[in-house]
Amino acid sequence: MEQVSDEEVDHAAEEDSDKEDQDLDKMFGAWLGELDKLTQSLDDGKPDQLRKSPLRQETNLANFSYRFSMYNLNEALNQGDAVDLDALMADLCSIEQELSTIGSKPSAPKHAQPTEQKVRQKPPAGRSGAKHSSSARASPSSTVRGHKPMHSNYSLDDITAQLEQASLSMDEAARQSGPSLPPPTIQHRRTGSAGTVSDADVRSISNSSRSSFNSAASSMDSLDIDKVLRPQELDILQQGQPSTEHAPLRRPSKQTKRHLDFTEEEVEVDLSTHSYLDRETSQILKNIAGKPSHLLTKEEQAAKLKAEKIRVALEKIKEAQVKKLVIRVHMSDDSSKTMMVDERQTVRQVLDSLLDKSHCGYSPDWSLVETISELQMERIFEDHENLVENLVNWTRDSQNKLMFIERIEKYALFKNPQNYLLGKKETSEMADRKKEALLEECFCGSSVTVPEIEGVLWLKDDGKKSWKKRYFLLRASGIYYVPKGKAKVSRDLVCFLQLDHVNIYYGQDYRNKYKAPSDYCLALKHPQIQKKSQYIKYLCCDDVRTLHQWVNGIHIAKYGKQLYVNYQEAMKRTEAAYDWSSLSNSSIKSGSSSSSIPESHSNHSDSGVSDSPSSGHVRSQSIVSSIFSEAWKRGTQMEETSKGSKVKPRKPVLLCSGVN
Amino acid sequence: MAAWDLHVSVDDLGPEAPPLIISVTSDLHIGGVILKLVQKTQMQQDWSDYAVWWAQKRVWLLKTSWTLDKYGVQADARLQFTPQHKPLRLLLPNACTLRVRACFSAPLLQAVIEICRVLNIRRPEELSLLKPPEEKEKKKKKEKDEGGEEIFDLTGVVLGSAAPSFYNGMPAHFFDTAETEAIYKMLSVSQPTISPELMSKMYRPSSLIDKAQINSRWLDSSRSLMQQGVQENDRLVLRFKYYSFFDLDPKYDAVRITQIYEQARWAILLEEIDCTEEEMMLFAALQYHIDKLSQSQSSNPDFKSSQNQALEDLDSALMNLEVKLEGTSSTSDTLESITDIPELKDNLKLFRPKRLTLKAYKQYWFIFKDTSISYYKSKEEALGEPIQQMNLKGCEVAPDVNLAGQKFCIKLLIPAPEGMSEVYLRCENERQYSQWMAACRLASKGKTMADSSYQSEVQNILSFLTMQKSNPGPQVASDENINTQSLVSPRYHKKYKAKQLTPRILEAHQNVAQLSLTDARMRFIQIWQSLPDFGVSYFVVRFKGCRKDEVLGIANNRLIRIDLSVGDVVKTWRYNNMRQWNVNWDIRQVAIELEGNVNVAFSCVTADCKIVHEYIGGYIFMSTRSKETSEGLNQELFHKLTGGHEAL
Repeated sequence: MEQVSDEEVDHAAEEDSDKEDQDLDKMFGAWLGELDKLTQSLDDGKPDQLRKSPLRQETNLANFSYRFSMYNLNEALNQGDAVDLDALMADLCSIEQELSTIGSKPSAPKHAQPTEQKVRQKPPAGRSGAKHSSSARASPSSTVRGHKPMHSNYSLDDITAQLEQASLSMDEAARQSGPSLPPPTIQHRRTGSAGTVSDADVRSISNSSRSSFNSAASSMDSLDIDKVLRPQELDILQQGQPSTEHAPLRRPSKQTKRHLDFTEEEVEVDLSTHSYLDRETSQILKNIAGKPSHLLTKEEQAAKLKAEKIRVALEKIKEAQVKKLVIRVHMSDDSSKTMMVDERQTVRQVLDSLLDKSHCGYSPDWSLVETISELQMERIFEDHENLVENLVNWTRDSQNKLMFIERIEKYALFKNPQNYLLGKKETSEMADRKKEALLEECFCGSSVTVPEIEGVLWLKDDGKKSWKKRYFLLRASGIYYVPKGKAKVSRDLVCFLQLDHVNIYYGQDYRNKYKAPSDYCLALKHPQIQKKSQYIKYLCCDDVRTLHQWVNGIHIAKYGKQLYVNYQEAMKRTEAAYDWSSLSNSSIKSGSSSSSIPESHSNHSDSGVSDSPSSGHVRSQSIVSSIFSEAWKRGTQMEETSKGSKVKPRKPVLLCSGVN
Repeated sequence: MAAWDLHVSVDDLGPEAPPLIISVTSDLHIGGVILKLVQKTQMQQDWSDYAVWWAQKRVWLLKTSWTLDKYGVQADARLQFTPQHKPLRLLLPNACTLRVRACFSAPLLQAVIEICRVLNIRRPEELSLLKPPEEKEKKKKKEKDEGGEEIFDLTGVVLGSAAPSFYNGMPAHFFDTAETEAIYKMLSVSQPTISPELMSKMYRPSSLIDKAQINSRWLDSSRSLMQQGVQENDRLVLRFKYYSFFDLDPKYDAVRITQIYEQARWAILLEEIDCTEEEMMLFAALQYHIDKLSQSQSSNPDFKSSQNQALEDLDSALMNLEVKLEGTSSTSDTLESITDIPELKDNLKLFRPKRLTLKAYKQYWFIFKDTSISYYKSKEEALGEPIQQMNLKGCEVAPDVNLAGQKFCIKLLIPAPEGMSEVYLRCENERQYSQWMAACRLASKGKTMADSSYQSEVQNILSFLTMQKSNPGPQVASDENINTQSLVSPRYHKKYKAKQLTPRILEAHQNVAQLSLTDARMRFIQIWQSLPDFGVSYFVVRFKGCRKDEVLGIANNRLIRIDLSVGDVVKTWRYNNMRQWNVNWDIRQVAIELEGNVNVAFSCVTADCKIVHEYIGGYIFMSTRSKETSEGLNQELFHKLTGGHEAL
């Protein structure tokens, strides 16, 4: 008897997931349509107009940045077809999802549904829980019935949940719940969902962009998919989004979830711990009764509702004033990626997601580099910095670029601290144990020891292409110089700059631009300054070693222990990447990735679409790691040799070939 | 065995009393001698702290089981039966004098540990005692000392062996009387600054040699006070000797942090350590901030209230919770109140300096909202487009104030893509100035006037202005105001007038104004620690094979060879690269062997080589400390590293 009912359940599950995938399809369509609309409207708006009244834009900062970001996207679209819209979508989703989690309303998983139904068959548990009664405002009965604007309260959750689940592909769910679930169920879901072409595409997109265990993540591949996909989705949009019977059904389960207060592990939870859900079952059962007939008549209404939901969600994003930028990240091989970042993301987080997507090996040297072409300067963003905060300093017509590139000097300080911290003139070798002790001594005391760096540097005259020699000293409180005719005693030093408000940049080819005495130049300026100004200070060193010593010294004085924390964090990730038999499990959401499940690979490889590429991907892993370690070795060798080694022309390795 | 007479003087019989003569044999152990002595005095008292001191040989006869023969005591010896603990006048890092009972018989390290236990200073190994400056200076002061100086007395406190218990963060033994409570306050609250006149009279080292002289006065950690000629009631200086402050924790280290801060402050004010002008201004601002906070704390009638901070925190947390709970029921209301950001609107004068133009200030109608300032031709036109809007986020704000000229200007350096634009806003009066200035400062940090710190910022600026006002006047400034000149070292008294200093200190102050008292002290210590010359103790030495004197600097991680005449660093040796170091006590030469077969040897000119040896060993000991073994101090290792063969 029980067995029979179980079969029924499985069947229901299969159906469900099928519908769901159609549903996903439409959701994506709707979203993309929304985006397209926005870009269109921006097209109409023309950049000129945007630039016309700078005053206005400054008055509304949030609005300004939003428009600005869209403008960037627009520009990106115009520049060519290399736009990774699907990846963008995925980013958007993840941001949304985060947003909803922050709003303390956990999103509901879509694929919780089958389980829900399964659970429903069981008798409700006796205890109906105090917890439940406390969530009275989310009473299922009321929410299920009314498809009215009052639902807009929840719509953000719903959307984020849907989007989230859409992109968080099913196989991941299977993977997570793998141990606790009989394999057949997974199969059901998988096979059952392979419906239409676009369906498959959607999934592969979500795979490629969201979860790195799918290898189809190189921009090229996803681009192709994108091309296939987009027209269809636009069609769907124009058709006015024929709705699914499913949307309302989702509601009850959502309530449950909200009530349970889970965000990430829901799948696991409701598959393994049924008792948790049992107390809900009775409610859900009641609410579901008589649903189908009711729904069928309201197809269009549901569609409208959905559109409304998206609109509200967008509004909510604006409301929350979370700035988002659509950014274009350039690679060393002249390709580029477009992605979305929100204002709370640190450089580390953005780097992580870029690394996940580009499969270029997990070296701590990967950096985000800001290049200001107008001033011919660049700097590596520090991992703890906020990316958006830095990018909003760019002007609208900016030629600035954000590069995603491997830079040896990023953490050279920590790889060979003896060359930077001891104030010696010559490079030297040091045992690893001693390096560690040295770093410990410098960064882990009650205060950070700023290396004693001093010496003659060239200082560019304001507004002239002439350079003067000065004796500079670095102190924790800033950069000083010795005035003419004075001795080198602290009390007579003149403060050249304090470091609170300035960032340090490498100058590029100042020999030509400013007639600098050497190629080893650095510039100090307020991050907001983007054009030539007397407030930018240019210094020139006699050799590359001095340059790096100064830059690192200034970094230490400015950021202190944070630098070391960044490095340790980066190294932790690198080690984790090494440990894993497959890089593919690397963080799905940056930072929150935890356990790597060895058998996960076998689990998700039977996920149909992305099967063959992912196994190929694994094979290439070992190659990557060896390349990586090679690079590491080379890195330490090359470090001091030349400045040219700074830009390491290493392409992100394309790992997969077979997707399309 | 023949009996012979032993002369022993007993302190308690009075200084004039003739020594007691007891008949002993050479195989009598010290315990027996003491027993005989006590019987002979016929005094009923607690003799447990008493021990026999052999003055001629400068040695305590502490091992009661040893015989006189073993100690080598013969009939010509003049022994003294005296308490091992005697009062001592200690000059603390905060320049207060405290009478405290110290152990005169144990090695100095043990005595310091005991003193620190009474004072509730953790990590006593970082401190040590040194002799006060030379006599001639002392003579001058002497009359003053006798009359004016307040001496705190803690000699009555005797601690049991149990770990000190705490009540409200204060060790229990300070609760005995009102006086002891006052002493704890003295120890844990920063002392007010002294007048600049007094300060400029104090001794300041002017050269490296002067600084090296200070280090010649350190007492030897491995020998007892009595052995080093210290007498009862002598004046000694308690200071942090090793500049590696391990595990500073505001929770347990109230006294320690205060005393480190005080030592740092005096080191800076008395120019023992050099710093730049900018750094001096920051130190001054922090001192001002700390003084003000300590004053408001101590002016509070209930001293313990500061310790009740936790309770206050709880209160505010509860309040917050309440607000939050209410907020959920009526979100819209609270949202409105949150989004309702206060504005400033007023007529101000604006001036933009441009090259070759002498434009005067021009009046506009200004509105300060959020973090932006907009200005309009007049109030009536405020509904339309502003002439310009300036977002102050990330900008630099500096005061440009001249009280005598009634000039209250705010200088703004606003970053823009094209560079920084310089703008001056001129206010009519102090009130207006303080409001706009505070708003500008908050805006530069991205905060609005809705921020809770706005009002305190306004008050800060106002109080600074009044301070400036009261200074130049010859009439007695009320002691609540802090003299800006007493916040900087005498060098800057000469260089700047008070009204020049005040705006600069004020400027530095804006970066630290939000710090709590403890944070401000910690910040001060940190900035002090990051000075390049921090923690370097100087000694004049002569290197083997060199003809002239040089300076050796000893820091917590390295030795520095410094040219005496120029002051330049010649060479640095890090302890990490040091294989071993030792002292040839016969020729009193310190030899250091470094990795790579580098050998250095030097003799010490200004200080005993034991002091140098102990300094190096002490720092190496400090670096062996770890948090796990934080409880017990490995005294044995300390002595092994610092004592040298002489002590063993």
